[in-house]
Parts: sequence; structure tokens; C-alpha cells
Amino acid sequence: MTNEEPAMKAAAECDCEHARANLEELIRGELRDTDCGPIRAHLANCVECRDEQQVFEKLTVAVQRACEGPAPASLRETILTSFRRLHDGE
Amino acid sequence: MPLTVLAAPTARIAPQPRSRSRRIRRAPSGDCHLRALDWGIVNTSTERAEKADRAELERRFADEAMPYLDQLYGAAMKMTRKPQDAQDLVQDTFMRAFAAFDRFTEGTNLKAWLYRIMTNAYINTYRKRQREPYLGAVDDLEDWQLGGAESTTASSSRSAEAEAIDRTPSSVVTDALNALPEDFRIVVYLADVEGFSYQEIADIIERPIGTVMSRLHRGRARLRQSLGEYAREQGFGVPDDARKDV
Repeated sequence: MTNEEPAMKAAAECDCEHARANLEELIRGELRDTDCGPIRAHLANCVECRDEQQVFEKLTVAVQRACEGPAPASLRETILTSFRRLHDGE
Repeated sequence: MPLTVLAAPTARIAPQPRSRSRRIRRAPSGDCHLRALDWGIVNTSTERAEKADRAELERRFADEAMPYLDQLYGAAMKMTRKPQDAQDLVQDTFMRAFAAFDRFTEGTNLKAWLYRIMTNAYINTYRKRQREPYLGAVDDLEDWQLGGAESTTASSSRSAEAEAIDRTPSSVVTDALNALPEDFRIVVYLADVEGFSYQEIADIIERPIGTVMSRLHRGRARLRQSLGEYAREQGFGVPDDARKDV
């Protein structure tokens, strides 16, 4: 019980509005530790905010997925050749 | 209320190139005869030393910077949206980076330094070439002026929304990304794909952290909106309202 008390107190410090306004920063590790506690506690108790967190995370994954792919193989060679030319030109 | 974000990252980007300070090669001290020496010999050995220096720099650059080629190309594709322009931009970035590499401070954030060079090259050179009219200071425009992104999804369908985003084909996500105002697109890319911190992005695009956050939030809100529209068109769920008909 003594363990639950601080968690409940922390959850009470954070409502849905506060949680959502800072969710993105929480996920990205941009918040100070002391600010994370109440939001995490709120998330533990609020399905809707957890769903919102899921949407945020899936959006990041979708963007990453859309941006995969290597550079054309010829590009590397082109760049290395330009260095050599720079070198030899002197 | 949004909280204050951390503004002191562990890895700050090295300050932009300082004065051009290549090591000055001094004649060995205590050798007064040098004055009478044939300078031709000295010059040749200096040249040889410089060539060796240069080769060493080139080797270090190839080892340390070239591994970022694929990542930089990905970012260049998101900036230019055209493969040929992206290749030109990346090549230009590497040439600029190599030219400034002797002023790069070893041990600082090379990746962020490369991104900053590329972002600057893009903004100063390539953007002017693009046919698309530049929106200007997109930060000053309200969302309604940019069109779209005004409504948020009903709370009852958020879990369906997450699932729908997961199922969206990458080509659709790419189109949605490409439709974002470019200042938003670049910040979303740097945060989501490269995982740069807000401070690192602020250093790369040379704007305050508040601008980074605003562009990121607005860019992602618009992205979410477009993916939601796509999902509704496909009948993936994500209704505007709860599913009354089911």
C-alpha cells in the first residue's frame, strides 16, 4: 500500500490534457525525469491516453518504414571518384 | 500545459567551422642555417608532408563520414523528392563536408554536423531550383491557412487508428510526407527517422527549440490526418464517429 500511494498521488497530478500535451516529448525522452512520473502514472490508468500513445508510436514507425532504402550503389563510387579527382588535381 | 523540454543534450554539435586554421608548418627551431638553405628543398618536403596529411584526412573522412551515405541519401530524398536531385545534394554535401573536415572537431557529433551541412546546402542552393513555390515562413501560418489537419480523430476509434496506421502501405506514407510543407517534413524526418533530439535538430536547422517542436507537432498532426483519410477511404475502420452500423 505504501508503494501505491506515491503512484496514485503522481497520477492525480496529471489529467488527460496534460498527458497529451506532453506525450510526444515523453516518448522522445525530452522531459526531465521528475516530469515523467505523473504522466507515466496517468498512462498506467488511462486507456485512451495509452491508445493515443500507440498512435504516436505507430506514426513514427510508419515514417521510418517509408524512409528505408539504400542510396544507389553508383553514388558512393561517384563521391569517392570526386575525392580522388580533387586529390589528383592538386 | 506543455512542460519545458530538456535543452542540454549530451552530444552538442561542434560549432560551425572556425577560422581556417591549418597547422602552420614551422622550420625546425634552433637551426640558423635554415635562412641560407635552398628553399626549394624545404618546399618539396612541405608539399610531401601536406600530401601525406591530405591522404590521412581523406582516409579518415572515408572511414568516418561515408558510412552515413545511405542515411543522408534518405534525408535528401525527403528534401528534394527527386532521385537525381537527391544524389546531387548528397554528393555536394560530401564535397562540402570534406572541404571543411580539417575543421571538424573529432569526438563531436559527426552525423549531426553532416546533416547541418546538407540542410544548409539544400536551403541555400537546391530549394531555389525546385519548381514548387516555396511557402515562405510556414511557422507564421495558422493550420487553417495551410489547409487540412484541423480535426482530430474521435477518441472512441484511437486503437483502430493505431492499427490502420500500421497497415498503411509505405507508398501512401511517402505521399503524405511529400505533401507536407517542407519545413515540417524535414523536422519530422530528423526526429522520427534519425532520432535526433530537439536540441540537435535546432542546431541542424538553426532555429530555436520552440520552432522545432511546433514544426514537429504540426507536421505529424497533418500526417496523421492524411493517413486517417486514406484509412477511411479504404474502409479500414477509423470512422469519424464510433461504429454505429456494426
